[in-house]
Amino acid sequence: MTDVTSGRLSGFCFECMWQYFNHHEGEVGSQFTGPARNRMKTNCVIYVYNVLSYGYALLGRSEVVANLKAMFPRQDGMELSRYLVGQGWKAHYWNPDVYKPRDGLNEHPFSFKLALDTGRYYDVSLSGLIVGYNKQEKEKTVGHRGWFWPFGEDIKVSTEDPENLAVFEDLKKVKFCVGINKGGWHCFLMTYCEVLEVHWNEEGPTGLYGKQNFYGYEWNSGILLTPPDSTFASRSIADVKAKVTAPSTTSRPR
Amino acid sequence: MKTSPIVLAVTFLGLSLACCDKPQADPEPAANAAILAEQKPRLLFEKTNAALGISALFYGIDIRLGEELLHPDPVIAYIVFQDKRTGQAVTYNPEGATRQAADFFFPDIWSPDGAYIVLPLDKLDGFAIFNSATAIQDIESHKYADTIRVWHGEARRYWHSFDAWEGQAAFYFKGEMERDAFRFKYDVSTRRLSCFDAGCSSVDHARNITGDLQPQELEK
Repeated sequence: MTDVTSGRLSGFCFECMWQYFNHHEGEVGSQFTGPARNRMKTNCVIYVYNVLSYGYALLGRSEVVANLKAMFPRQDGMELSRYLVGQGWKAHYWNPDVYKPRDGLNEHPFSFKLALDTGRYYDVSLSGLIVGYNKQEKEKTVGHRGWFWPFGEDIKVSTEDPENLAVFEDLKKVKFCVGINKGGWHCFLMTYCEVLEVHWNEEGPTGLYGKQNFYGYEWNSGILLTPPDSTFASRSIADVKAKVTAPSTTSRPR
Repeated sequence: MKTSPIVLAVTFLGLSLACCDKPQADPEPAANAAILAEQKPRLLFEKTNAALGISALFYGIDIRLGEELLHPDPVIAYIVFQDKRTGQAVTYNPEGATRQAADFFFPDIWSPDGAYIVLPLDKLDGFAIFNSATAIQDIESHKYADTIRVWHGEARRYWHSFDAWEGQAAFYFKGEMERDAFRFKYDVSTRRLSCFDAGCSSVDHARNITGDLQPQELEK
């Protein structure tokens, strides 16, 4: 059985990810302003590098560990992403609400547009899309039922696309993946749709490592990288593009 | 798992570099051209240096998919500098992966005294500074009057975002990473870099066109 099909890499990384999360007494955030007390400095990228290095080391892939070590000083999430894609990982663009980002920034609809137009997130080749799974407006009014407004009731239709929701359901089964936000600003690990991340200005036991549900994750767009042993498939870019650029109808899912 | 992750981290960081191949890059080139392929940029606005007769024409695209406008704020795609007296023009449209950032360009490029133009080099590589008087030729030939970029620790590059001008030729910018934004001020005329957070002068590093420089912590 090859690494690609065995699930060993995901398993090793999953195990290590939780080890760090649960036992980090010897670590402190690299931006923590209090006393470091000889603790090892960490941050979001270091967490990701350490877990990946451990996983590949247990797989016996010393050349990958060495390459990760070579990249490590720059702590560049996008460089890491490009490297992982070169190693057979798949990059999936994510954006919970491409039409109405919760922070109102044009960055998120723009990165969605570029993902559709170029198939890339910054300079990382995308395998597909995880989009529209947590929209602010899950239904919209298309008319009114009743003989005289304001009596009667609004006719509402869902704005959800079942295919987007199905992809998100599949994402919940992914044991381990790496996430990158905003062109590499922030990195995180994820398991079964739970984000595990390091906050670089904190110390343990609480605060240094954080956990939250990916469904409402505040960064609003980025990429998720699934390992070569993952069977997860996101939505095809061509399929989504055909759908969102089709002439509008009242029931067009987006 | 038998190995402690803490021990592992030490082991990982202590590994020999002797066996390293070059990291294998994603083989496809950056697709900046494709960004503009589907939509013709339109003139968004113009900023003119009246004393020199040079206009900066900001072209951009709407964030549109099919019929639908995704966001009311357009994205600046490139800047054309035009000398009104001679008719000469040059386009500033640098390559690089971070060109895909919606806030790559910013409008406030002329220094208040009109002597300088500050433009983004790359979100991770900071700013290019040109002399306004010779901007058309200098942009064409990449002849910078100065550059400025900052990074954290050993080599972790900040995400640079222009903030505002102060005085005649100093500007504020942010170095952003993770959930934090660190504020800096660069005075183009004196080539002095200031930083505004406790301890920043010891953990932040910078380089301008003359070489490395140390950020100066401002007195509170």
